[in-house]
Amino acid sequence: MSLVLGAWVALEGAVGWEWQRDLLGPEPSILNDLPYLGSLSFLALTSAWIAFLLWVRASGSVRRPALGLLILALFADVIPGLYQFGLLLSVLVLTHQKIQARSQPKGRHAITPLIFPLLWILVVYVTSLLTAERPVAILLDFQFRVSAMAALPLLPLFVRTPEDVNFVFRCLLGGAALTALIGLVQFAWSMATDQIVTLGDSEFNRMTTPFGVMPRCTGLMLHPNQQSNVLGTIGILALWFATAPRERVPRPGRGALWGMFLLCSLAVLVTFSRSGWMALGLGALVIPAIRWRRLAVGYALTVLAVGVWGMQSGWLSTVISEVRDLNASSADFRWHIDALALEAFTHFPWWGVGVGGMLDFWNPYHLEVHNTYLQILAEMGVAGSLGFLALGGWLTCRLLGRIRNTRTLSDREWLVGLALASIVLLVQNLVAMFLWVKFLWVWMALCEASVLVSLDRWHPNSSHTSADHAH
Amino acid sequence: MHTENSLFDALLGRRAIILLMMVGSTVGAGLYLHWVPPLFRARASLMVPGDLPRVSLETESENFPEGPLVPDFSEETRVGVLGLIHSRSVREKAALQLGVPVAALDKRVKADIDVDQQIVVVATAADPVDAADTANAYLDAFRTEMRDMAERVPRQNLALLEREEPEVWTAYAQARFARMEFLDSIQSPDPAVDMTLLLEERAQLTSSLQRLDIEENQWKAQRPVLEQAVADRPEFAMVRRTVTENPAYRKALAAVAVARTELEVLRLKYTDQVPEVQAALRKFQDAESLAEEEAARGLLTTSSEYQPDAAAHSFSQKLVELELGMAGIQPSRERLEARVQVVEASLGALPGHRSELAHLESALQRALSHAERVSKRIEELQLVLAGGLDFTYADEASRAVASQAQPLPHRVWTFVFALLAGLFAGIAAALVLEVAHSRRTQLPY
Repeated sequence: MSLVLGAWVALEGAVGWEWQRDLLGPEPSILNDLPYLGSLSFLALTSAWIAFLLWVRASGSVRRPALGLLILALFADVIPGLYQFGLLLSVLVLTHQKIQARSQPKGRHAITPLIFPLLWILVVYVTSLLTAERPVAILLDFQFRVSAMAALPLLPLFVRTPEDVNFVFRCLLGGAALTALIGLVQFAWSMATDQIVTLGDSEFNRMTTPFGVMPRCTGLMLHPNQQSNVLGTIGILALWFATAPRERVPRPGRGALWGMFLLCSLAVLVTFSRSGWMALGLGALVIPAIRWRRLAVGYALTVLAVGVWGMQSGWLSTVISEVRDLNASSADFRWHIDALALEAFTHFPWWGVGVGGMLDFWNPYHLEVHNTYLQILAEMGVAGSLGFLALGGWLTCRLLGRIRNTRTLSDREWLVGLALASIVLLVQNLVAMFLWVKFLWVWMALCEASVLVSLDRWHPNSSHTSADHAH
Repeated sequence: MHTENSLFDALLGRRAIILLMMVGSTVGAGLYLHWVPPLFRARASLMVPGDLPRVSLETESENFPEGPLVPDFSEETRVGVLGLIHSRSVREKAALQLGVPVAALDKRVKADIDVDQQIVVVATAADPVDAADTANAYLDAFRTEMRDMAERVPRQNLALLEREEPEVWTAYAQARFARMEFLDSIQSPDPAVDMTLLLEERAQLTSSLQRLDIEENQWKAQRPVLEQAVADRPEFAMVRRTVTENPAYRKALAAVAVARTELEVLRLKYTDQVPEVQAALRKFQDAESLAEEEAARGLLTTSSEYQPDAAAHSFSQKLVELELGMAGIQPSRERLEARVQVVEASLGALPGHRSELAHLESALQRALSHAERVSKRIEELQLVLAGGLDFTYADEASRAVASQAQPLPHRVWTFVFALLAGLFAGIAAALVLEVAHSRRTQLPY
């Protein structure tokens, strides 16, 4: 193997440039004409593999690294297959646990009840294959998306204890910090070199503003909207914990959380994703009302007063129109496609036009519906909508129910944080299409896993302690 | 929890694997370098300017640059250029220039954009001269192909226009002839002028007719007056009359005087009641009456002379003139009206003539304009194509040179990366074994 490796390095030195040209095109960002790129990539991959093995060695098992990899993959779309690798490792770990016949903690729900609406959604999805003109293309997408949807039943089997939840939280913060930092570096590099330096597609990685052409920095993600989505969600989560009472969060931790929120906010800013800005802003506005409920009314009135004054003085409407006009054409076509989605629903109300069918349904733009809710309605009809309503509604009820009923402070903090951070997802999905993005499904799975962990605490036969671990 | 020392110890304990991997990869690289002959990579660059000089017969001002001439960095241009370099057509031209089969050039040449944003043609071959020649042949073939593509449509247009040129000038000549024929047919060099003259004439005729009407009415009004005047005048008018005093009057006056004298004389003697006075008074009164009567008779015409009445004569003459005039009105009117009809008829035909003439002149102008344009375009196309449409720029400095061909792979870096790859792979393998070893007891199989 080592002989082959050496020969490969030599071969790559001879023809590697041609491989690079064929695979990456004539002008890839940063890597253009980089010599021995293949060997460097091998070294980078091997380093990552070594880091993972060290992690496994330090953890004592594959379980935490697999989970960590799964979570980190949510922030690194540029690394193909990373999420699937993490999912595979997780499945192997679960299988290993089963083989080892380690029994579930008593009273623990073996599998989430959300599996039922999920199965119904899968059935509706499969009906698209029966009516599609190109079923093979849909099948390929389906296989890819099933891996995202698989997180819903699998993650709760993995995240079983409060320590697991804390671990997931740390991984979320770590992943968000990594992609946010890379995004900011991309921004600084682009501004310094006057060249757009991102890892995203050139079709989406720039925006013309009154200040000139600005890079839409995606960090380790592939699309600025997805970058803003993940960072906005984690940013709200960080802000929630940063504003926790002093006795719950020590000062170094509070400082780090505030720093995390600011980092995420800056990184969202440089994505130039207006939906991300809106979602993050709304989420951040809501937090004080929840955190300091006694002041909620006064706070709400203050916000309302500022808003009214802003509208009357005109600065608020000016800001809104300036932001909207940053890429007006991008906003304009969305309303047309939304109208097309409603039109599609009226034509195919029960089962929809099929997943992916909106691209060809009287659609001159050949673009997807930029509204997840309308997308469900149009592409999956009433059947699919019922499935998603059941899934989302049931999850929401379970989450809110646990928030109301749990007696553990850390549980409530965490669950409320999840609920508040979900605002980013809910709001941004009004103007974006994240239905089949893995972050959404993993987030739902995390919410469900957190509900089950909270339930486990109070199950009479639970083997877990009620230790209050905030971090 | 494993400490760093234990990790180091773990790696140290598996140093054989690591060293084996390092040595193996280095040997493998060495074997490759020994057995596989090196390749040589030559590069030729070209520039696609953002603005192309234009050839024009009108002005040179468009060729004066208003700023620095920079390459076209637009993505569409570069994608098109790169695609064209990889096209079969360019490959065939290059193969023809090199004298090799087309298949021999497959996959040996690639177009790329280097770190300096230049478009480069990169050729790889076992021989540096061959690599440089291949790169240059591709460069020339691409430039020729691009020039041919650019010139194809202009050449087609030139051929088309050259075929059409004699026809358009013939059409112009025909249009001129048609115009001349038409003018000849209407016997007028300029219908516009004719119309003006006819309109003036018609106005004058109309005015004359109006004057005739006025005169006729005037004369009709004067006629009865003249006739009455003639009727009222005598044929002869007394021109002279000799009159004398009425002798009876003289006598009556004398008698009055006598009577008055006698009366006065009597009144000197007698009163008025005396019959002699009364008789004298009566006599006097009678004499006065008689004198008054005689006086009333006026002068006595002794003789009178009559001649024909001049006024009547004048009136008669006028009446005759009036009759004569009225007799002439109708013929004049008829004559004028006839002329008016002729003029109207001529005017009626004129709009049609004018329209037809305008149409012919318009056609003539179009034919001339078209013919001139065709000729001008032919001149311009011939000028442009004589110079050639070269959309790229490449000079001797940008051509590939055999001495600058890069040998591949680079021996030193190959060994460095092979060593590093072996080291990393060895560490990874050692860690896999370490993890597997630590987990072995937990695996039931």
